[in-house]
Amino acid sequence: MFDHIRTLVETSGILITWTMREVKVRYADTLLGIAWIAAYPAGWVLLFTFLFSHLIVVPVYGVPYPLFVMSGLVPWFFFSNTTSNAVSSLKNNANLIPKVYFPREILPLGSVLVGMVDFSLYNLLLGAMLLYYRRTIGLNTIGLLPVIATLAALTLAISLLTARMALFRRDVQILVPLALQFLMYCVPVFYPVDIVPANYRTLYLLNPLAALIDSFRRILVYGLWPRWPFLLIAMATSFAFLAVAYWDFKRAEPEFADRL
Amino acid sequence: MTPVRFENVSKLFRQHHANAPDGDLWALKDVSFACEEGEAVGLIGRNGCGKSTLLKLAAGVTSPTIGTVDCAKPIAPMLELGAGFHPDLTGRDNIKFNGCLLGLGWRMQRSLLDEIVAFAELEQHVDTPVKHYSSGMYARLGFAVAVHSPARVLLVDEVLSVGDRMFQQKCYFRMKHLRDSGTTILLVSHDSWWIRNFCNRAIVIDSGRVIADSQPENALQVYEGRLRGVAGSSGPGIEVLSVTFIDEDRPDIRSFPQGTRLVVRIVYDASGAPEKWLFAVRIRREDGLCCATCIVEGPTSGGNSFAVAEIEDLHLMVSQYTVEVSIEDGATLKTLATQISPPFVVCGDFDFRRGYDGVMKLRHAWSFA
Repeated sequence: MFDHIRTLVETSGILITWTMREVKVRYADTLLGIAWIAAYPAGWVLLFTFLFSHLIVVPVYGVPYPLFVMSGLVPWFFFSNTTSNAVSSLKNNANLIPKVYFPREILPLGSVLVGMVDFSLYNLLLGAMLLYYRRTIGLNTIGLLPVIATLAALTLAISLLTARMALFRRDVQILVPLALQFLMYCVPVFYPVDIVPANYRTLYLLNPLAALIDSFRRILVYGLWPRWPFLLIAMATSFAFLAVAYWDFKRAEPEFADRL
Repeated sequence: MTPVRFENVSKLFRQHHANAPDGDLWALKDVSFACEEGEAVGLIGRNGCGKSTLLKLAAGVTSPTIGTVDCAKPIAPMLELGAGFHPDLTGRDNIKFNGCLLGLGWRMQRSLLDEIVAFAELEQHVDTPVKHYSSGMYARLGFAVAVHSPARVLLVDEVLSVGDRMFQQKCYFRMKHLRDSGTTILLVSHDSWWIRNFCNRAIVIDSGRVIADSQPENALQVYEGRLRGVAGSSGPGIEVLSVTFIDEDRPDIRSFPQGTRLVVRIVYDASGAPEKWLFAVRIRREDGLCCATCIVEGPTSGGNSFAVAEIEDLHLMVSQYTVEVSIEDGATLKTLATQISPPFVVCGDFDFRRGYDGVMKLRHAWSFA
């Protein structure tokens, strides 16, 4: 495993060039270019605000609903958009993988880094909203570091796993978008954790993604510290999952070219 | 350290489709060889014999089922030109990523970029997205990046027919330069010109096995024998043992003036030959062109013996030639055994700048009114 990581570090030039290239390809030839970054979450924020603060009123405890939902959407977008890109990252490069060797994890990892670029831009938008609603930022903001690191680890773990599986089973590429749609209702994106019945809440927060999104919002919007027990569990499960997923990926790697 | 080493390598392809008729397939079986620095090794064999699998194993994109493959890094695999180019990006951006894959660091890229672009003859188009390139431009760019990478091993799969003749010539000189400066080159080609003129050595593969690993000339002979359905160069009791030239004055002569006599001495064993068999003597130019054939019916006595063929008036153009002697079945005309002489040179007045071209120098006379 450490050998794999060393090789990956040695070839980080490829990773960086690949990521820059992917970012460039995404916004090359689009009319609005970078404006899409703002338009995409804005649409969702408007829709959810209409649904859950006008049609059905979801209690959000003294926070403007647009800010509330944006703080859930930002980490959710990172997770779901990255995963749905990463699942086809190996499959879409069928012209590259059988022709030249490079550590294959660069492809799903590149998807995560591209996701990180978008995530940073979304965070700028979120920051603008925080300013607009005059929220103050305190010492608890350092709690974001473990939250974001764990979110990246979890996303990478799932990206590695699904990208690998998509090579062996076509179903995975169909299943992942469906699973993501379901998952959005199982994590606190547009409603708070507190409306989950108390006896299910522990189970609910054992889902690392639910704990992470909840922590992200508590820190930025409510100015609270995260729920540490659940955040620690999420960190432990996510990093353990990443180790297993990476091991599994490298174990299957020699077969990739034969499968394409 | 040896840059390329294959040890008892076998590769099994499992058929993953439910309706695959023949199940598993051994693409390579028990292949062993090693290449030194600065060696250019040609790989020849019919389609589907395992050449490309061998290159993929060397490139490390797939791994052997049995055995070990060692290949020095960095490797520049030209299994397909421009693999990984993104159609929406410009030539310049594609050079960046492709170069990176082939081990060209950013600093090296900056200093080599102009050279790569100039080599590919794409100065005008380097900032155009490659989707607007013609297939020749695309391939030239791919080739240019690969041959400017700092590779210790270059893997070339049937990509040398790129571009026009001028460009091909440039490819040849560039590859030669790489070879002579120590890069190991593995080259798959159906073009015997490249095998003869570029490679130091050639390996013939048939149904996943190495059946010959020798001088390019011998290897090509074995391969052509295979194509004609002959098992190797010798059957039981049928063999051409040696082919040498005789000259009264100088016994080891390798160079003949135009128009002189060529005397070939052939030692052979035809004890196992069919009742009616033929001797065929073919003179081949260095590029493989058969310039002349002399055929004679072999003596019925067979057995271990020798023959002398005297070829009068060697009116060939100045070049290097070999004599290929084979024993053929008189009824089916199948080649039973073959041997090739050491190369010899026909020398004489030759000045291609004055327009001399062709295969033969015909005796002729001029008269003017």
